Amino acid sequence: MGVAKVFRCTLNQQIACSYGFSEKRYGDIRSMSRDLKKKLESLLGNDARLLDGAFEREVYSMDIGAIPFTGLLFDNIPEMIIQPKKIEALKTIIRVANEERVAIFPRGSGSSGLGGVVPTVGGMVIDFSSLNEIDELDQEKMTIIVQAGVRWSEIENFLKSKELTMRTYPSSFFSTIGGWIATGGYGIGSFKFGNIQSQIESIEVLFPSGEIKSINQDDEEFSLFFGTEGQFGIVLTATLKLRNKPRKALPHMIYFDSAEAAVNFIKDMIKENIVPYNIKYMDAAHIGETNKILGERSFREKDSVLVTFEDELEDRKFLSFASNRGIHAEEYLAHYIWHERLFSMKRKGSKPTPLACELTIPLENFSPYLKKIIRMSKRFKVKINVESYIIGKDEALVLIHYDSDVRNFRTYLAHLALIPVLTKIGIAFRGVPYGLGIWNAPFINEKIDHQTLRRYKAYKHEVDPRNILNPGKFFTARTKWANIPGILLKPVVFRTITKIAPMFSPILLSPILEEKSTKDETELEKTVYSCVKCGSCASVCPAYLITRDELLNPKNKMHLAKKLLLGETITKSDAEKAFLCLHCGMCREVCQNDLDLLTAWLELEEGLEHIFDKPEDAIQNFVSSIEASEEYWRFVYAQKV
Amino acid sequence: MPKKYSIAGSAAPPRFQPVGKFVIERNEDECIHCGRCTLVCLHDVHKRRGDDPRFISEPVNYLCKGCFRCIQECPKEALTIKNNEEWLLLGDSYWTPETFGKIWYQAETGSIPVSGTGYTGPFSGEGFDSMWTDMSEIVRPTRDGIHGREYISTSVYIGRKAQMLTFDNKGKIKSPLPPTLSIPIPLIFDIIPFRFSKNVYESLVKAASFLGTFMIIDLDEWFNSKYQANLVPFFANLSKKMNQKLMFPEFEGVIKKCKMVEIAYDLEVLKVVEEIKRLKNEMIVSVRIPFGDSTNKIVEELAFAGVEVLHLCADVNGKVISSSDKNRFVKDGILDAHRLLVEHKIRDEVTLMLSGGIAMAEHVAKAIICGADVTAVDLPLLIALECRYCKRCQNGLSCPVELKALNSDYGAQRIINLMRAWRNQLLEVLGAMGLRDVRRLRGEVGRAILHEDIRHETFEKILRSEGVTNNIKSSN
Ligand SMILES: Cc1cc2nc3c(=O)[nH]c(=O)nc-3n(C[C@H](O)[C@H](O)[C@H](O)COP(=O)(O)OP(=O)(O)OC[C@H]3O[C@@H](n4cnc5c(N)ncnc54)[C@H](O)[C@@H]3O)c2cc1C
Ligand code: SF4
Ligand code: SF4
Ligand code: SF4
Ligand code: SF4
Repeated sequence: MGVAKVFRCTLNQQIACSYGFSEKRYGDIRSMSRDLKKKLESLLGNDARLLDGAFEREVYSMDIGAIPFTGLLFDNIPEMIIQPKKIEALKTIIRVANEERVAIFPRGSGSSGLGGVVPTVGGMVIDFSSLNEIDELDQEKMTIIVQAGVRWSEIENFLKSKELTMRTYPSSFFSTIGGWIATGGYGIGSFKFGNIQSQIESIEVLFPSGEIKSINQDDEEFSLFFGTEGQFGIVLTATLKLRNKPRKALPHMIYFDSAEAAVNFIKDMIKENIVPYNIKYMDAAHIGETNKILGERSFREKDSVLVTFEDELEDRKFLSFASNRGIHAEEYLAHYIWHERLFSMKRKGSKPTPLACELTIPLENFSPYLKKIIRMSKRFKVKINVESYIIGKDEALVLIHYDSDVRNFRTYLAHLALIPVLTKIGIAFRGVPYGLGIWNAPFINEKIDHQTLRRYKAYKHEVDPRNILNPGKFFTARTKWANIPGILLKPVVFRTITKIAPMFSPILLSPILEEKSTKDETELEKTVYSCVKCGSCASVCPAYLITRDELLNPKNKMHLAKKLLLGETITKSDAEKAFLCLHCGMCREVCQNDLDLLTAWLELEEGLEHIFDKPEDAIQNFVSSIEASEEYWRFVYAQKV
Repeated sequence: MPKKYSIAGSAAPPRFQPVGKFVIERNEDECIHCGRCTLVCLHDVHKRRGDDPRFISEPVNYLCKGCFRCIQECPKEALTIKNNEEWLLLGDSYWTPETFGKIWYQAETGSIPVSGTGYTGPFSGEGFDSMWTDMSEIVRPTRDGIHGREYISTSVYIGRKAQMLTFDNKGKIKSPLPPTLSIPIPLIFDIIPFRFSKNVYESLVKAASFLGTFMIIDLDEWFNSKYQANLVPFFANLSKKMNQKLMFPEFEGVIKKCKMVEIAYDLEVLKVVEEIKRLKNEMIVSVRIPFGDSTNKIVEELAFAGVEVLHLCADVNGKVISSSDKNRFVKDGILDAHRLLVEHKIRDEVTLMLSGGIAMAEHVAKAIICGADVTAVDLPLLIALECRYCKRCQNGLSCPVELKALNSDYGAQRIINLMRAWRNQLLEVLGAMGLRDVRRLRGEVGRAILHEDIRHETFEKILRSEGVTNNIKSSN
């Protein structure tokens, strides 16, 4: 055992205890893990998949943020990944983990940033991808019971023929119900229907003790599970309230000369008691991005508002209200933008790596905030673009995007530093960070009021006394090395850093260090560094969904490709898996970043063929076994138009 | 019982994608390589790629039967089907696209084409389509019987049959036997309509040798070959040359190597026959007589003069040559010749060979029913070699299937496959008619229904009762 480890073991425990959370760490992770694995294997049998391959552990150490220095601060490589297929199995896992004091990191589709799914102390990742059954539809009551691992797209597909639909959903249509309950819960339709909490009747929760509890919307405990990122219990199922499927969507897009004019329009409309299904604001830069994607200037590059109705009466009311305000875009353009709501990350910048900052802000402060951050972003030499969902009468969820390039590391660091800066400015405008995870944990006091926080801490102590659920984040980010680097993430220190970051940015961004040309990069390079690891592709990839092999998951193949590009060692068996792809192009169709994945896969295979031979037999077996799978054909026919 | 003759086939896939009836297009942008089409198509149009089964090959259009299964089942509506324009332009009114399709299929596979349920027609038409064979034998052998256990002979003799055999006291045949050749199928290869490169002829003669039959070849195209015994040289202007004493030195050499020769009919043909017989007595001599108004007269004359083989040839579409009746078809001509010889009671002294318009296996059967002993095929042999009958080569243009580059072993296999399929169909006809020997089929017009006869029977009475007097038959 190295000195560092001893140090960590003892000190960490002390610090942990001083916070009121006991936290046992392994002396020697590996030997412990092997025993645990054996134990779990015998207990679980076929009811769960246990993964501990090096590659799998690596891909489960990241989320979409994939902050490059995470590994320096945390033990972010899990010791094991478990994919339970039955609730019973999950119960066993939690019980064992609690007994053995092993940290548990629940993971839906891993599409939230901020490190919410990233392990901090090794431990086990519980992947919900196989707990994805739709249990019961009650057409009369218009409710549906789903397991937490079900994706929004799966519910929509299921309801297709039933004349019913969901009330709200995130634009990450491929993410899980459990994930949205645990995170923000605001998205499309939230203006009319509120957040996820108000569309749920009841949830079933599994506590570290092994107890399963059904919690109803009227219960006092109910709200504790929304937006608390899996700190108190694991959500097993949820009963969602549905609604009749509207016959059509009636989107309108209106251009304004300034953000201020657009926001005023929205405020006036709300004052007039007009209730659209959804209201979305986009700044001129965002519209410019859309034009770039389309390859033509179809849209006027102005601040715009997209208002969508489903009710014709309400729609008429709106039209008479809006008739002489702003400039109305052509109907087909409005439809296009509405359709693109599920592809919020689509981008065509010259730099591949998208970065984002998300927060809610009072509507009245919206445009002054925008003005301020535009000025700030110029100091960081980035061009931001902004979209926003209006999620209440006076509240907006703001998403700020900009592009960077991880390969220009210093620039990238500076760009990364802009995120908390933007958040901080938002807080000054009475804004609230959307999530906490690891990287926003320093903002906990800004997000959660004092009283609630006390209640949270008390509840955590009560239900998870051993702190096995998602430790080292949310309440406070706790790093390794006796949490010394963690000082940086302490609210006071962090605030200071964000304050001085703009001053340092010119150094990091000095032109001498400026970008290398990206002109002659291959499609694979471009793809690898543009992929946001959102996992949208994984939700449709037949190869992955049938085999449930994480190495076949297109998102994870990106990671393999990155290793290939960087010249890192790849094992032959991992490389072989990259060939088990049908080249069906389904991933491409839903790729959030509109990447040319089909070309990328070909280039990836070509690159691997230089090192290993093409695994012809494995390919042949793969195709035969896929074709023999009934599930595969069900899946294929779900594609039928 | 002699060893059963059967022709072994072996797949000979086309070198060039044949023209098909349909064009199937797969939209690669839509296709998700799900493989459904490869599973539902019964005709192997859709396949996963051999080198990488994750991808789907280009559809093999020509195999498509237009069943629409793949179109319906494709989850992405990535497939479209349409009629192939090129198909409709193939051949002419006699050599229809369907004929090409069948020949190509048989040449590739050696099997009888299946066309869904039962016979799809034509039910009546011109030429060979205006007759039906009576296949109503109740105690017909089963199909596997026909191609397996049962012994049905398809072999025929070429040459004169001895009228009466005399024996010496040792029981040996005394009377000199007239020369005959036996071939295991009632088919020989006729002069092909266009001139071709040597490899094409090589393919033909290799196939002829394999099958045990013969190939007639214009002397101008004569070539030295290992299989010369199966060649039948055709001399066009022999009498003229003989008169002018222009006998060329190769003549004797060529004659020595062959078992049979063919000479063109002219007024002095008998002299030529005599000369050949003088050179080689056991030589079988066939006289090529173009079908025309005077065919019967010529047949009568030559038969009585003792010519063994009379080769009556029509044009490539089976129409009689130099006739006042332009619509007269080869089967009517052979029927007349056959009946004439039967009347004169010398039918068995001559072998009647028919050529022109033989496009399908059933034509062989029908020609025999109408009185031919042997049929000679021409164009189908070329089509088997993928020829599209576009005649580009004859106009100095490039051949779409590059016949010049044809490998003769491969070419021979395609022809053997075609002949195999034809023979098997012939066996089925014989089986269905309850016959065990193709020679019994000759002239069995009683076992066929002729369109003219039906017309006559059906309409004449009616018309007569209606007071219409002109002869219906001649209003043809
Ligand atoms: C393109 C894109 C668009 C997005 N749009 C929106 C949007 O419109 N609105 C929005 O709110 N967010 C949005 N997000 C963020 C993200 O997709 C959502 O937060 C989503 O709900 C996360 O779901 P997930 O299944 O990916 O959860 P994960 O990211 O896997 O997990 C999120 C958190 O929940 C915990 N967790 C997961 N499952 C459970 C469970 N069963 N029980 C307890 N805890 C659990 C995890 O430990 C983690 O802390 C977007 C992200 C992307 C990439
Ligand atoms: S192309 Fe390959 S990676 Fe993409 S969805 Fe199809 S099988 Fe999956
Ligand atoms: S490839 Fe596209 S869809 Fe898949 S994880 Fe990357 S950005 Fe998302
Ligand atoms: S239409 Fe029928 S025969 Fe033609 S390709 Fe499709 S399935 Fe095959
Ligand atoms: S059925 Fe359609 S989608 Fe599937 S492989 Fe064939 S053409 Fe492609």
